[in-house]
Parts: sequence; C-alpha cells; structure tokens
Amino acid sequence: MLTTVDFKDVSYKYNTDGKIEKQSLRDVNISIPRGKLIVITGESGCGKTTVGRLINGLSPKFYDGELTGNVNVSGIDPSTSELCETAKVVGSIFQNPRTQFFNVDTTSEITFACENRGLPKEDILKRLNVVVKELDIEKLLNRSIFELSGGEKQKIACASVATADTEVIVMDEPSSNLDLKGIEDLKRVIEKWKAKNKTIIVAEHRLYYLKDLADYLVIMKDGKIIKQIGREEIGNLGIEDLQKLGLRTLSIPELFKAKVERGHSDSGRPSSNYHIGKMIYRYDKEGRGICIKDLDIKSGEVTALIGFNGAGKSTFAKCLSGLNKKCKDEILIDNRRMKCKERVNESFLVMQDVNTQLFADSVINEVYLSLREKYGRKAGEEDMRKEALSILEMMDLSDIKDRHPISLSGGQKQRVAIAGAIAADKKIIIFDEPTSGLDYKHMLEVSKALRMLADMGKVVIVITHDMELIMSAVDRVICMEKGEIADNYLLDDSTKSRLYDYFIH
Amino acid sequence: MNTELGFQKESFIYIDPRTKLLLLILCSFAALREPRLLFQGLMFVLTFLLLINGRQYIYACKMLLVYAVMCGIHFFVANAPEKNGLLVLLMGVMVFRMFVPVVMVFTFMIRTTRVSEFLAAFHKMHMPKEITIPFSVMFRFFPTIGEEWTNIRNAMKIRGFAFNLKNVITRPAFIYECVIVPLLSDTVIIADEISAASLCRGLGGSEVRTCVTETKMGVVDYLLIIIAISLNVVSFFAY
Repeated sequence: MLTTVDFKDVSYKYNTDGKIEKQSLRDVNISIPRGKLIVITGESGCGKTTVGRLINGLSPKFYDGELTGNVNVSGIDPSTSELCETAKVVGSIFQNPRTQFFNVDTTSEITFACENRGLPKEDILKRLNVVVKELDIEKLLNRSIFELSGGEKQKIACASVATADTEVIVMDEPSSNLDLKGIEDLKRVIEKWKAKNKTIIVAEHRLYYLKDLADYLVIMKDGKIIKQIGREEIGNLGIEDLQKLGLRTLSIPELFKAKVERGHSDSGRPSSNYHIGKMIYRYDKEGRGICIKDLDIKSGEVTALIGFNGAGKSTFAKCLSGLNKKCKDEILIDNRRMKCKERVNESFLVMQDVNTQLFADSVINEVYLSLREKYGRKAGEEDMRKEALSILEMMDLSDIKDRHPISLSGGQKQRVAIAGAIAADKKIIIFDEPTSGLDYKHMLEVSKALRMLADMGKVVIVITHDMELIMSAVDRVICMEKGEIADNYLLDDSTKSRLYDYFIH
Repeated sequence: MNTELGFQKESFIYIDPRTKLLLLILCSFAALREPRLLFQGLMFVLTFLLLINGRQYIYACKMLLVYAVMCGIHFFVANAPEKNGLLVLLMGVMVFRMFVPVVMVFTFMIRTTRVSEFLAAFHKMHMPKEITIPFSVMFRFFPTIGEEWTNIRNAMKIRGFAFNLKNVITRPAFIYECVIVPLLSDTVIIADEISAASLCRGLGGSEVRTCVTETKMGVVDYLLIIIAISLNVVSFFAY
C-alpha cells in the first residue's frame, strides 16, 4: 500500500522566545497509507496537535522548534519546504472557527487557497461550483463570515479545503466548537472525503462521531504513542478502558447505561427559588428572540441548558444575568422582585472565550480585584490575603497563584474566572460551553467545580451539549427550542432516556 | 454584530469601487474649494442621488434634514438685523456643511462595497502585495475587535467595574488597564491563529494571486468621473 504520511523516529521540542520547552513528541513512528483516516487522541498536551502541525508544516515553520527524525508527506518534507508549497499537498482545518478565516465574506474564503496558488480563474470557479454542490452550501455563499454560526463557519473551512483539493487533510479538534448538528454535518463531510480517497488525520478529543469512520485510532501520552488500534478493535474499547486512558466516550448509548446517582435537590439544604415569571426579548422584526414564562431555577442545583444553535441559550444567559437591559422580565427571588441591575451584581458569566474576562497580571491579583470590588477600602490587607488564598486553594490554583493568566491553559483560565466569581460572592453563575475542547480528565475537573459551586448554594447554569458533562454533574435539564422552553426535568434514571432521545435525534 | 465593515446593500446601478474611491477624493477637493451655497447645494443633490442609488433611503433623508436645518440657519443669520453674535454660528454651520457631501460619499462607499470588491479593485490597480495584504487583514480585524470589545464590556460590567462615564472619570487608569489587558492578550492570540490558518492556505507564495471577484468600469462610472472632474474644474475657475 502506498504510504502518504510517514513519521520516522520523530521528536519535537517547541522553542518559545529562545527557551526550549519540554519535549512535545518523542520517537513517534507513524505511517499512514493513502486514503485512510487516522484519529489521534489523548489527554491535553499529549502532542496530538503537534503531529498535525508537523504534517502541515506549521511546526517548525511557524511555531518554532527543534525537530529530529524524518517527516515525509507525499514526497515532500514539510519542515524544509516553504509553507505555500506544503499547502498544495496538505489542507488544514483548525479548532476555532472564529480565527481560521482570512477573508470577511464566505465565497472569497472558499476560493482563497486557490487564488493564492494562482490557478486560472475559470478553474477556480469550476471547483467552487463542484464543492458548493457537494457540500450543499449554496445558502452560505456571499455572506459575511461574522454572521455565521460556528457550525456554518466550520463548513466554510471545509469547503475551502475541498476547493484546494489537497491529497492530505489535517484537522485539529474540528468539532470542539460545534453543536450536535454541526458535528453531524462535519461527519458527513469527512465521509465524502474518505470516499474520494483523501488521507485524513484528525486530532480530536470527541471520538464518538469518528468511531465508524476511523481506520486507525492512535492514542498518545506525553508525546509518545502508547497504543495503535485498528478499525476492527475500536469497538472493543469499553468505557472504562477509555476513561483510564483519559479519553472521551466512543459510544453514546454506552454512556447512558451508567447510573445517575444524585438527587441533590432533596438534600434538605435551604435553597432559594428563582422564579422567572416572564422573560421576553425580541432581537429582530421577525420576532425572533426568547419568550420564557414560569420557569423555576433553584440554588444548589446544577442546571443544564441544552438546545441547538440559535435556540436562544446565550440570549437567555444574557437576560438572566441582567446584561441585556432591553429584555422585558419579571424575575423573583423567593417572591421578591429582582431588577436587572441587581442581577448584574449578583451574577457571573463564564464565557466560552475566557480571555476577555481576565484583567489582572497574576492569578492572585485577579481574585484581589473581585475582593476589592466587594469590600471597597474597608477590609484589611491581611484578611483579604487570607480569603484570597483560601479561594485559590479551593480552586486548586495555589501552585500557580503568581503566574500571568495569559500563560495558563484554557481549563486553568476558566478556574481563575470561577475563583473571581467566588471572591465576588456572586449568587448566579452561568457557564457557556465550559468543556468544549477539553479531554476527559479536565472535563471531570469542570464537573467537580460545578458541583462544588452548587454545594456552596449557588445557582449554577451550564449551557452545554457535552453529554458526558451532563451525565456527570447536572441535576436538572432544560431544553430550549426556538426561544422557548421545550422540556424541563430533573435528571435521574427514569428521565435519562429523554436526554438520550434528544442527543440521538 | 455588524457585518463586514459596513456593507449593507447592493446598489441599483453598480458602481466600480475604483470610481467610488476617486469620487471620494474629487468630492473632497471640490467641496472644500467652493463655499458658495449654489455650488454646495448642487454637490449635495448629486451625493444625495448616489445614496438613493445605494438604497440608503433613511440615511439620505436624515442627511437631507440636517442639510435643510443648516441652510435654514444660514438664511436666518444672513437676514438677521444684528449679526455680530451670530457670525460664529454661521461660520460653524458653513464649515460643517462643506463636509456633509464628503461624509455622504464616504458612507455610500462603505455601505455599498464588499471587502472582496475593494481588494479586487486594488488588484486591478496593480497595488503591491505589501499594501493589499495589510489592508485585508485590517478589514478582517475591525469586526473581530468589535466582537471582543462587546465581550470585554460585558465582563467588566459583571465584575463590578463597568465601562461607564462615572468609572472612566473617577478611576481612569484602572479602567484603561481593564480594557487594554484583555484586548491585547486576546488580539495577540487571534492574530496568531489567523496568520497560521492563512499560511496553511498558501498566502504569501511567490505566484501571482488570482482574483475571482470581478470589477469592471462601465458607462456610469465614466459619467460619474466626468461630472466629478467638471465640478472640480468649475470650483477652480470660479475664483
């Protein structure tokens, strides 16, 4: 069989600002035959992204580093040839749909790679037509990139790679910002590419959608390949084997076999009841927006908010936290009306993109920032220090209290944001997709943090479509559809089939 | 979120982006050379028609109203028996009025041109890569920063130090820091990721880029340019 991608004894170290960092890859040997789909997985920081970067040439050409061993991608060496040459052979799709576009309108983006290559115009237009039909994206042509949903953006990225018609396609966690529908669409695109005999490398946490497509599953740890599993054996991996390896589930039905052991709601702790009498907000003339009536949310419970893109989940979060002043609402806490302004003071939103939420130059100062807002100048320096340290201890951040937030990993940043929320003594804490792109271990950490906040008596709301997170942390599930509440139930063994049905359809 | 830069609607009669750029320059020259009301009024009518062609009805009407008010003030002051105190007002109105057509052409250009059209126009004008690439990055970056800005403001509000007048006045250094720190750290990451993605799509290769978007000068374009040039000629010889 013809080998398209070949790694021989490859080791790699990143080199940031002159400092050599720890070994990212050690003695990796992979050979990928033409037309095969290989899924590379493993815990965060295991080196799977680096494998992708070595194939598309970004390492060491863009992300500086030291390479030993040989990489060969269909006859060329990406580490020595120019990036624009490698781009003719390798197409790349990245994790964050927001930042992988160079153009502002969709059509230019799709044709971008071909334009750069200087192909004749007629040829490009022909390719464009073929791809648009193939991926069924007529509706997305000539639109502004900024008005597309994450799933639609990822489709445009796929179309762009398809138009370039490269032999090899590298995908770096392509599903991490997609909803269920988006993942389903992505799967279909990959299926089509496979049928066209493309060689595809996917580095990914979320495995279930690739299960039927993968020819090989490569599991990495600390820069080494620890397991390579062929197509036939993938199905034999049980949920416990996977969790031991720090991996996400391969099959949804199996996940739902687990027992839901919670019942926190009747723990006898005093809890506040937030009653949303109404919450109405229309953001355009066609009346799209949200309209919610008579919804109860309890403190001390973790509530999951599920629903497709555009169902109004984020709008709900903005309205509940009082960020949206135009929302007509009537929200009562234990029968007392809570105005918009009060809710801003009482609530905290942990956004998907945590970068815009951290303001201080070190982790501990981030906590001080909240404490100072809370106490003003009244509190003594020593008391504040004690409180800050105990909060950091609680969030498992003591070791890194002096580091700059920008140098932390996504999960750590998230915990810093939560620490800020605890310090400010917020009552309502809302998370927007906190586990997108996290491996099993880090997902569990988030799950623990959610439970902890609930045990502290906070209202915890998670917007998510991560089934594993819901199964491991959530008490109540609220499903939104077209701006309204479609379903609302306590999650236990008798109701989990409702959740299962939602995820399957 | 705002769509690309400012594009809103396709014009009735297509006008080439190069023509729009040229019109903007010519209009600025003409408007600032000749302050007399008749000439200024003519300029206003022409730019008003441009806006109508660009389907910017509401904006055009707003500008019409503003212009009418300014002309009203002009007549009122000119006919007032005691002018001394009002002359400053008159000056202000006249200077402001001069800029109205320029602003209108600019708005017209921004709201009726797609970014890809601008780039195609640069391509046709044989602008070097060193100019066009930074330009397209800039177009790409404005809306992104806009999105980030909204997020940061929300985050600040929730943390208890909202970006509002009171805070900006009472603790400007602190608020400035709270805006700049996340904005910088975030834009650095975004810029990095955008660069990586575009390099992987072959940007910066040695080949001459193809440009799929077409721009073509038509009769209307030449007509508009002739009108704009003659207005400049008139304004030049009027003195």
